[in-house]
Amino acid sequence: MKWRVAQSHRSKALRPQWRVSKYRLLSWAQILPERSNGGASVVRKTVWPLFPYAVATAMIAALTFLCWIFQPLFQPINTSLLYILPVLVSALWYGFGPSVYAACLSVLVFDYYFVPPIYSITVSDLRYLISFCVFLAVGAVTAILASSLKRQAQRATQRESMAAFLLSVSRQMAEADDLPTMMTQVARHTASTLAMPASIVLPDATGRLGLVYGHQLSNPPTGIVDDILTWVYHHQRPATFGEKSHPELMYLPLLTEHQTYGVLCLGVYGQNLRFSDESMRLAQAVASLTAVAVARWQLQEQAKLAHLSAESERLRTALLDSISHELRTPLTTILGASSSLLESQDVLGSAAQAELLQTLRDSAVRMNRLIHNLLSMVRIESGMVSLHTDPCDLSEIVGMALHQLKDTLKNRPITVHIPDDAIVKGDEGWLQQVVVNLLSNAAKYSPPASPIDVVGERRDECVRLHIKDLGEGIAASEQNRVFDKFYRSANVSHIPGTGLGLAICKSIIQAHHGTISTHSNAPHGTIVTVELPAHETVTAEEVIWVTKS
Amino acid sequence: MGHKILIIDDEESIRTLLRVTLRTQGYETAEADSGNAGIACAAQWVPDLIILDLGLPDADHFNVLDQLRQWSNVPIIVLTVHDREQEKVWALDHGADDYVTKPFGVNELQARVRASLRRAHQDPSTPILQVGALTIDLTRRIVERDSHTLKLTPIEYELLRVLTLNAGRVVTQRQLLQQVWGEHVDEDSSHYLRIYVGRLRKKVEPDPSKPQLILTEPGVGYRLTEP
Repeated sequence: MKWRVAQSHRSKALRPQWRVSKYRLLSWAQILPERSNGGASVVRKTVWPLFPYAVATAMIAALTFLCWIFQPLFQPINTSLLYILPVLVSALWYGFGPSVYAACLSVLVFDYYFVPPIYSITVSDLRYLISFCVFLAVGAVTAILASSLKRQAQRATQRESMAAFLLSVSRQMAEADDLPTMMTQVARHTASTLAMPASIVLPDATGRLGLVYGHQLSNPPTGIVDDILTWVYHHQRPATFGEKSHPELMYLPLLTEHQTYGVLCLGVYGQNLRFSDESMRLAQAVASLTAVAVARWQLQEQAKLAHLSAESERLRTALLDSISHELRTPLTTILGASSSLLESQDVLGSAAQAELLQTLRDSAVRMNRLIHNLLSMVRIESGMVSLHTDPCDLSEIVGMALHQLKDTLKNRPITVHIPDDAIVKGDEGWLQQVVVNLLSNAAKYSPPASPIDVVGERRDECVRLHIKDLGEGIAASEQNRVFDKFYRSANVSHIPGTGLGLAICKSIIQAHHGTISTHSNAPHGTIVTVELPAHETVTAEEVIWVTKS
Repeated sequence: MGHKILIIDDEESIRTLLRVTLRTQGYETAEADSGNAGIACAAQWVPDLIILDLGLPDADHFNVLDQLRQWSNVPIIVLTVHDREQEKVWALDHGADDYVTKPFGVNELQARVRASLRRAHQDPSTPILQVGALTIDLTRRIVERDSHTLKLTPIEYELLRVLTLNAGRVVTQRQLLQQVWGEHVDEDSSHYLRIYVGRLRKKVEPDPSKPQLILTEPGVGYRLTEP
């Protein structure tokens, strides 16, 4: 890869250019206890590096002035102790360098103004030299202690703020439901903490780094951002732009042990905003945290997919089992009965022949119903159903269904109560299939010759149809599941069936903007209730008016 | 009166079909629509043969087969479907005598019923067996085809003997391996079986490429055609 390098008068290390960062990538747990040298999160160019020394000098000058004025009040030994003060103050405020400087300056000034001979560096009493040494030693030790105390305090504050930041980022990650939200939030949060633009770039479906969350990428004049992105992504190493130790832009790979998931891009070009050591570490922590989050999210997606495909696999097996059994049984009967009729005609009595013919027809009817249901299911699922909604009379639909099932319901006492105003908007053919399925279910799952009640009722805007049987009933836990495709209750597994009938009913009723539900017909049995939107009742005058016009 | 046959099947249409066709053949039939009813009926009515559907719900048929075999040697023919080889092998290894695949022709079923009944009532001491053009003399260990004595190795002879004793009935690969090679055979050695059956076919079949005597039941075992 070719990187253009800007012409610059500055030294090589200061020249803005893309370079591969030497930073070892640490996991975020490792980063917390690292030593930190402090500084604000972003280094603005410091204008006054000598300011602490000036302050120390000023303090000593002021002290000397005061001591000079009140000299008659103090012994030299008291004065010397007072000179400890600027040393302590410099150590607390500015650290080691200024405090040592203050100690040396104090010794010199004290010697010059207060130790005889006055106005001279020379010392007449040699014991003063020992005092000076002790003073210097005390100053140095104080400086070391104070500055290390200050460093520790600073480090603790930084550590605390970093931990708090990482905690809040990881909480956001845990709360987000989808990847784009999560990534955008993390980028925004990182940007506000570092006071720098931040963006996260992830590969899209084609594997190209095309999904950008957060800010737009800052494009320096000397780099081709896309190429750098790709390089960082593939080589799994961070790249920085700008000065070596305080870069302007940082591109960090989102890296876990096994894989790179994307790139975290931080910084802005041309605003004189640079990274401090601390913010670089923070950036790394965010990068590895984000990588873990993306990895977790991807694994979750994979798990979901696996679950889905297992579910569809289960459905397919159920479909195959149920259909092969449901098709084979009538087929076996048809083949067996017809071959028997053909081959053993002379042996079969007329009663036996009639019986075989009857089973032949029953099996054909059963197969026809199965194929009809299967085709309906396919048509409903593929959205090929077109409903011809007309006003239709519920009692007429029930009548047609009863006629269609007259063989199945031969020995059943069936009561039908449907009011005249039970008129629904719907497709007659499909609604008839619903009633046929419900009635044949009622017959199938209740004792032979037990009664079946069909009750219709008109409620303001809707029409309800209840079909009640005295069968085994449906357990409360299964009231909803029986409408699932291929679901069959365990306690009816001895009765052949596909588990398609109610699923088809539900699809048809939903297409009519209605509802279907099952309830217990206490003490035993089931009530299936279908609720459909009613057709506005036509009053007698309207009918006359329509006829006249 | 003919033999008594018990039909255990949960599908009414299939029970009807079997009842009508078997009765026209002079058999007496009884029906049960669940495994438990079937066992009770088998104990009281003492049938000569049982037809058991392997499509009974709740894996009932597994219990039925095991329970029946605990106290009865009655021949059992299972009804199964085409693509369930494991189920067939399981049933045969657990004491079923034969199986019929749905959908079946009535003639096929009747042939299986006849073969099973005959085997159950045959005299076990019959020393000479006749299968098609083959004559097998069990006392003298001689196999003849069209009056020519065939030279068979001991293993080939054993294979033929086991198949002949079960003529008309399927013998699973495991049953063959156990009876010919002994109890401790590896389940994976079925390819030896294939090799030996191939050699045996070359000696006994008129046209080994189109076997007529020793038929392969794919995934299950072998069957010697009925005499």
